[in-house]
Amino acid sequence: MKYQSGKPLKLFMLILAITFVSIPFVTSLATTDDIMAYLGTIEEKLNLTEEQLNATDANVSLMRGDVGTISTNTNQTNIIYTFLLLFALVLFVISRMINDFAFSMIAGFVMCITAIFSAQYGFYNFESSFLNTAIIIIFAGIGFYLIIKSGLDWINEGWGVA
Amino acid sequence: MISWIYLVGFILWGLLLISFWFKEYPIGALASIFMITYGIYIVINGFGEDIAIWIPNAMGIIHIFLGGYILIKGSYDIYSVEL
Repeated sequence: MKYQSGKPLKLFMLILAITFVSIPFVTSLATTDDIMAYLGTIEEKLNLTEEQLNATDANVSLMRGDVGTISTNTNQTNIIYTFLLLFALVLFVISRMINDFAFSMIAGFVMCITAIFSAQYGFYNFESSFLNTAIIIIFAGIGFYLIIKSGLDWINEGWGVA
Repeated sequence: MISWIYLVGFILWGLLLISFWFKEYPIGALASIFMITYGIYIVINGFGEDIAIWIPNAMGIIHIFLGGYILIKGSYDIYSVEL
């Protein structure tokens, strides 16, 4: 009996995709506000003469001619997860719309890039390494599945352009 | 604060989705040309964030490849049908 994906499975996949895409987006907005508020308190405490709100280093002159450096690097890498996941989702939707394997394979590549990026930086400030590893395995699994499935379908159709 | 480079990307993909949804190749061709430009910009300047250099490089190369692929495949399909 050939398995056919029904309506509940498609609905579940849709909810899963929306969840994966929306969580980093909402979280990145929240953390950005927190970081900006934190920077504001530092400026009030140290009485900086220059406005340094960008992701850079601000030189702070201390008492009696001592010079130190305070790092004001903001963690702005959260939105890139939304970028990568939404890009993969758009590519997958396009591949289903026009039945082209190339878009699905590139969506798999993007998911693998997201997995490697999560392994390098952590998935939007996850402190739990267990959850981070789970996310990496899920992303890499989806990516490899899309690449291998699309590639095998492409080969089985004689490398034809769909 | 979302960097404008991401918003440009979202607009590009929206254009691409619209072109495939309504089967309008000119919109897709425009989106793919902008996508090539966008990819080159990302490869040169990055996302403007303090992250590893291979991420914007990979995304830029993918955007350039996709733009060229859509342009070539769309033109090929149109000419193979009409000629």
